[in-house]
Amino acid sequence: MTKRRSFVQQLVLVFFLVLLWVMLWDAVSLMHIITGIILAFVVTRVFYLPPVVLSGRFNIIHALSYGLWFLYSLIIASVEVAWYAFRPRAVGAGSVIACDLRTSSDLLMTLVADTASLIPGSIIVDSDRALGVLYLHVLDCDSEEKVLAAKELVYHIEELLIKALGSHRDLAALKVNPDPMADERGGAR
Amino acid sequence: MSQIVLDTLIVAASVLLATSAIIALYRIVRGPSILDRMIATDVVLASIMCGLGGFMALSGRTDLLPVLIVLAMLGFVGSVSVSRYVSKSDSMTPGAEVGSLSDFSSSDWHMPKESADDAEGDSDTGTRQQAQSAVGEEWPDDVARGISDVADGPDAITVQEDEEPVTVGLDQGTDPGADLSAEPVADPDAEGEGMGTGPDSGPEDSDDGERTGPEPEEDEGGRR
Amino acid sequence: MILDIISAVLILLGGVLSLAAALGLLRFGDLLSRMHASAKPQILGLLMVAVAIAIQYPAWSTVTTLAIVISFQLVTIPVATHMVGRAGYRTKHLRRSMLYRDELAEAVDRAEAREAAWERRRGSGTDHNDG
Repeated sequence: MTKRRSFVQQLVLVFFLVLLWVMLWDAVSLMHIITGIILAFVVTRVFYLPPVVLSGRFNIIHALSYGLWFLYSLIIASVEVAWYAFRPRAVGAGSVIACDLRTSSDLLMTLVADTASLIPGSIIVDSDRALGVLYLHVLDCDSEEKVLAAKELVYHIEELLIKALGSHRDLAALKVNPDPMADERGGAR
Repeated sequence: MSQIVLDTLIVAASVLLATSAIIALYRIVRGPSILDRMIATDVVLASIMCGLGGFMALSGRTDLLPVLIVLAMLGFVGSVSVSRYVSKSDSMTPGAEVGSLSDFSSSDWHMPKESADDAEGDSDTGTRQQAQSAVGEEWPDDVARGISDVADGPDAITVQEDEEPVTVGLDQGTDPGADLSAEPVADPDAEGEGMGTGPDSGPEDSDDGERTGPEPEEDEGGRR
Repeated sequence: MILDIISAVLILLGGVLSLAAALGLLRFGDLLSRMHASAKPQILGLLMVAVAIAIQYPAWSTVTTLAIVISFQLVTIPVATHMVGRAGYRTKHLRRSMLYRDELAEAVDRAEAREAAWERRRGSGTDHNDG
């Protein structure tokens, strides 16, 4: 049973590699597909990577909303960083914040870290995989409100991603802990 | 009329891209550390890519698209290799992820949160170090066997085949132990390197005289 | 002609973002801040240039290759910045004065103490790294 299922997963990986190969060659022909299949098998054998644990769940609506929010944030925040570079006033101090994620899955942590790095304002500096903690450096973050705002952004990213492709355990963790910032804010909100 | 507008736009874009490359060049020369120079090189590469893209868009040729891919790859590989060279954690300590914050081996990849419930994992290091077989001398069995079928259940601390998670990738065809065990033979140079003592270890307070932040009252750069 | 002007405007915007990246590289005072400036506008600039090219040549071949370039950049830029940031944080390239709050220092200190203990214990047995 395991062999069969992992063979299917292997096929999925090979399919995506073949797709990439065909896209590189800019034409769909039998020759390209065959050479793509051969190369995909060779690559996955030679460059052995540990398997990615998917959650088996993909919600297209939430994924779409994540994509749109991502694009929107990318544009807004790129303009913001550009503004910081251009304005005559110097940029303030940054800070390194720790965000204890609710998810425990490797893939989701990686995606949250990637997204937080792409959306200007934060870059991922380190991560603690065993505990599920991400450490990010935030630009221009020299007051408590900005630190809280940065943390809320990261948790928002995580929430969107869990809804889009988190496992059921992650969804349960999300329900248990819908607002991890409550104690930090002191319940003042 | 529109031709004049078009020409002005093109000239303006070229001037901007050239300026950005020259300014990044300044940072390459001036940058107090090798990492500064590396990210400035990234910016130069990005300007070149934008310029190449603009050239392709406005002069009617698309045969330079693979060049974009190659430039992107060059930037990435360069950044990663330089930063691996700089950081101390390139010397392999088998059984633990290099430079990791918790004592966390490759076999514990899908660590659930429930089993790590103390603050900041002080007792985690104790339990997990006991869980490692033959600390430091050889690869633990599960790592040498390859990483697969790791359970995603609440009881999994080390590799236990409780259930089959949905995985994408190979099951253990080739033996990655052969590949992995070749790595601990680290270069002997890594042994002599202390904390960040590459050829360009950076000044204590890597500052090129341009302070754009608050004045430091006490410099803690020497703490590490 | 109008398409050409739209493409030129997009490329100009890409140039502006590249200039912002370079200026940030010049003006920010800290390695970590400079990394923000170098990586972020670059992505949007590349996206705009890619859209400009795609407008001019809406053929499938160019669009797929551009999609490849953009997705490679999306995937590799965070990894590269993370590695540079981690190397810069752990070694002496960090200006602590520029940090308002630092929640990572304690964890890193503990990890390094643990690694030092590991090295000491391992040094008494067989050592892989010796020649």
